[in-house]
Amino acid sequence: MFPARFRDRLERTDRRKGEAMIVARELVKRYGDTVAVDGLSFRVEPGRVTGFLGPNGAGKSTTLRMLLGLDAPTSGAALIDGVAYRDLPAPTRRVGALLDPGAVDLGLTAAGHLLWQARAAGIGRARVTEVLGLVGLEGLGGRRIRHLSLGMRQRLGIAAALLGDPGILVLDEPLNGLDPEGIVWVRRLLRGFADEGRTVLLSSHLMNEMEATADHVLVIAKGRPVADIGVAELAAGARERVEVATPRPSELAALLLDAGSTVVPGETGRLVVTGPDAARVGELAAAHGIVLHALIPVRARLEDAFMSLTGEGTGKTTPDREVGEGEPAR
Amino acid sequence: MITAEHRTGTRAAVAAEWTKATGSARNRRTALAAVGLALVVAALFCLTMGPTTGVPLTEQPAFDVLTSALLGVDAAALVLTVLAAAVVGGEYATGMIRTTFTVTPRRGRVLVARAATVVAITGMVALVAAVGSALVSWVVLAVAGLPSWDVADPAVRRVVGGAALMAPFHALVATAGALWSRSTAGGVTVALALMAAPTLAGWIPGGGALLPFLPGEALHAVAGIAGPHGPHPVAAAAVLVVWSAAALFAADRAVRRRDV
Repeated sequence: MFPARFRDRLERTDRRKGEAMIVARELVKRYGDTVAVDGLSFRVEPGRVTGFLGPNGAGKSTTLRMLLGLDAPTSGAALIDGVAYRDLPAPTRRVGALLDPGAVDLGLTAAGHLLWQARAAGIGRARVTEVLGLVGLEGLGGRRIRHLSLGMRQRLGIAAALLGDPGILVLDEPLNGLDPEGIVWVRRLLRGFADEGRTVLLSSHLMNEMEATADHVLVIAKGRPVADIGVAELAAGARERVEVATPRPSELAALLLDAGSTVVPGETGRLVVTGPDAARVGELAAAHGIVLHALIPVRARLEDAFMSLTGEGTGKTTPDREVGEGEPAR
Repeated sequence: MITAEHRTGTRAAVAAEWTKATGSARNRRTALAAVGLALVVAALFCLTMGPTTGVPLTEQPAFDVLTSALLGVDAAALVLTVLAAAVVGGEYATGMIRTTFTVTPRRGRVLVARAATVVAITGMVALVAAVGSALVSWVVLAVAGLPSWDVADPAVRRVVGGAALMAPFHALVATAGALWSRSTAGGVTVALALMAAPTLAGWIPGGGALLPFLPGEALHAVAGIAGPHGPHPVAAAAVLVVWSAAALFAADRAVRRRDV
């Protein structure tokens, strides 16, 4: 749940700005006893790229499906321009969506796949050729999807989202399966889109992916909102860490814990220290005659901010029984 | 009330479904195979008529040779029925159904458009198969030096046209069944159950009274081969319409309500 003051602010802005693009209000989705989305409220503003973040299974795709009218919310509402998606007069021209690039008929050609979707929105064949060019698939319209690489299929999915020249883009994990060049291309595309005053909402389970892509992130975990924050603000909140290698890790860890630091075992037997800076760690070691083999300040990563927000372990930590109890100290 | 916006929306949905169905290489190949199968089966039935009926071909009335050949269209209808179910089942299996319902969020329109497309395409393919099968019987009769049927005969035209009705009807039912069950198997099962219904009815005491209300008998009546006690063709056509409407209604209810 959002704190009450935040919800008030949300509703105030809601009233102030008539041009609300995407708004979710107390969205809930239950499948039997499982709660996939649990009281989610947010708004997605135009003119910026909004990342929709959460670990796998956090409820991102369910939320996007509710937004597109594919799944009915158990309660609450997901609105686009103040109405349900299916009540939009020309949904494809207002919202471009990519849910799953694998959800295609492999026997269709790339152009054929776009053409039937264009027909549904009353869009002509010329636009199909145009969007194929936009996503770098020019000349491949006649190729069967079966013979397209995963990256090309991802581009084709994005082409379909662009068909109606929509003011809103909703993309589920659009960077999956793309090569580095493709990722840079999608980022530029989304940036250009947002700079034109359009609305972009893209989901991801990887925070570092969002670091270079989004201006703003909505973070959810277990179907609940945990943050609705600017990327710059989030980065500022992420604390720096220090990586230390020493032949006496247990002793140093004990000293650091006593000094109020957070210590977790890192890779190759190193300690990862959060709290004091590198200088302070070095001084502490020197004062107790502990030899250090390495002392490395590590730039704060959004990933860590994300992990602490969603309450997920880093996944990289190998438990080391020599250090404390192998548990992250708080 | 139907508004202009509804009409545009439905027309666009029909255009989308038509483009999707005809753009698929698999669909085109299968339709072609269905026609090929019809011709082969037509030839087989004509040539084996003597042994199977006990009456040599030379003594068969030309009309009976024609109706035997038209059994080839029934074979094509089976292929097209399975195809119709597989197209829907495939959309659910790949998840493409989500794209379908995203570009046309009014699901009733998708259903109407899909139904129209399936009926039109399978109807055309079946008509080609029916005319082809008829020609096979004509060739068989000509080669045997026997007198052939008369193309101007209304009964001949009716039986050929009627034979082409089985595919669109069962393909429509299979489509509705597949949408309702969200699977190919479900669609095929529903269609096969309706095809087998007359036989099953025959096993139940008094089941014969049900026959006029089943699509199998109705299809024969429309084609003019139901026999003297068959239902009136208009009543038979009404039976087919009611079955189609019921199948579409059930599919519509299911498709609107469900998450995809």
